[in-house]
Amino acid sequence: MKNKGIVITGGSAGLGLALAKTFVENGNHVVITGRDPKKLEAAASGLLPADSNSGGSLHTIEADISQKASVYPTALEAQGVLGKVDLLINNASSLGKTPLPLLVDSDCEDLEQVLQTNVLGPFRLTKALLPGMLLRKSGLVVNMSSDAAVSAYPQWGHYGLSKAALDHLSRIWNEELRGKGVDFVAIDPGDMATALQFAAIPDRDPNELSDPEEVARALFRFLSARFQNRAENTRPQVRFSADAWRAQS
Amino acid sequence: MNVFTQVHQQPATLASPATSAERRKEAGLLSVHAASGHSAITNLSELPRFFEAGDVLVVNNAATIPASLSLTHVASGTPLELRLLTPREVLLGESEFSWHSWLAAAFSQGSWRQRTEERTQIPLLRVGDLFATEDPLVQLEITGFHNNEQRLPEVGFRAAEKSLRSFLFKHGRPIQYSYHKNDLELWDVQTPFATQPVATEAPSASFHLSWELMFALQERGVRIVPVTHATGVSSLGEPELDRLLPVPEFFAVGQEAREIIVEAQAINRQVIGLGTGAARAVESAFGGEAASSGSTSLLLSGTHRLRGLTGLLTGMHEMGSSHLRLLDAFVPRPWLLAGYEKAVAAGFLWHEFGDLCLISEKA
Repeated sequence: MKNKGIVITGGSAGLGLALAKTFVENGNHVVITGRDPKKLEAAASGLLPADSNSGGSLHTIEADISQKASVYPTALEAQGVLGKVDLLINNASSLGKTPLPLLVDSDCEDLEQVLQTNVLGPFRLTKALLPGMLLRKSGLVVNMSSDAAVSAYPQWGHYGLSKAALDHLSRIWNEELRGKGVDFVAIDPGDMATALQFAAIPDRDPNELSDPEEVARALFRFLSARFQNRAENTRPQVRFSADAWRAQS
Repeated sequence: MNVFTQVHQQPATLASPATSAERRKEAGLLSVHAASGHSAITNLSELPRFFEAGDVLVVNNAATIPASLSLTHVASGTPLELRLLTPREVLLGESEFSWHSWLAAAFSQGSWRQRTEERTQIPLLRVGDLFATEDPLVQLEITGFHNNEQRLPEVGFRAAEKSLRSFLFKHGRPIQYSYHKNDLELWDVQTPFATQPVATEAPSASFHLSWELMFALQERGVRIVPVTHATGVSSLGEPELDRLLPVPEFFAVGQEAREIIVEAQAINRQVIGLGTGAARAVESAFGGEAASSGSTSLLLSGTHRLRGLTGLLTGMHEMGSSHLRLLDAFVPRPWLLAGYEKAVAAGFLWHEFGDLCLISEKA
């Protein structure tokens, strides 16, 4: 994958930042979004030296993907900057309240906030960027999922159900737009040494966790192949566990 | 009987813009046969039966930017609304769309609920005057006046590229219509084809279209082809200024779009423009110079001989407006008016979120 327009939400830290770096290094034009302008600035300045030879570029947009009023301007600005969006990676995620509470101890307002970030945000941004993809009959939308979407981990309730909804959203998008040139995948990247992971499990042994930069390089290979074959339309599998996509990358 | 004096008076208020699903359900379609004048009333969902394999529907992929800015005129301390009309480079006939310098229209602050006709009193503006914005990093400076009109300043943004972009998308608002009860948000003014953020007012003929309908057309073998036209402000509330509209606007017709249209022409298929913006883009691109993108001031009228399109799917156009003259390029006026009378009887709506009219050789 080279010379593609790519939008990555939650791109100023963790896997999002690592993906942005990998795509830019491979000569792509990337917009990252994030809520914190300082982190975005730091991400942008950290990436600049690496991309100088690749022909890639990085752009930042300050946005809170959980807010409808933030999603639509972001979509327009990203399309203005990139010209076209080939790949959307809905990566921004909210864990909800930490320490993670039992559902019975949780508040519905917290659940609403998690759904806004993890389901409605990706839905809105996808919807706002789909017109260009459908008109060009070309695009790939990646929704970042989790094994918590499949396994009913106690205390991961809000996060887990939001990711299960995101998985199913990916399947339905895919069914409805089959044959239209736009492909959808939901991917569990596996457990990584990121802020989100340590917020959920503070005493997690870092040695058990993957390095997000390594995950990003492997995902780049997987997504490049998926993008290449997006028109083939023989894609019964939309959701990939960490083992499943790794086996193909 | 002059039914049109009634129909083009817009209702005092209109409920908040309907959701796109509601709008689609209610949209009516007036079909006018361009060769016989036969017209009929139906629903938009019937659109596919006016098309056959090999036909082309050309859509405008312009997305609508938040082109209304609330500013303070520094010299007088007066709050004003500026509506961006077209980039200055486009006004000068250059081919690039740039964000830094714009032709704008100034309105007294008031509320957008007031009709623009009531908001024409502005303080004296001079070249070099500054406008302050909500963002301390972004200022605008008046660099000139279009046609020496005080209300049409040319403004330059004093800001870095990035802060200008983020300023517009963060602080700009979509241009509002006074007949709407509620504020229009940025998502209310995007069409199903919104991709390129260049329009200052929405290409409204596309509001009613859905991808379900597009897929139905594609299944019939119809090709949906995007072009870009930076649809602009259609009224400034003063007849003197409205005479200057439309100002030159940005358009782009890509190589692939051109080839598909040429192919369709070669096998004698329909090429239908969706909206007047798509029509201006195609007819500009298929003009003598065959420029693929740039600035267009082409005005379609009865004397224009169609070069790219064979028909048009568009909103209901007001009497006396330049939009109505534009339709003369597609069908003789008496036939159109005969159809319009049927539409009036059927209760069609005549505004940006109103009903649609298809003029084609198969209607």
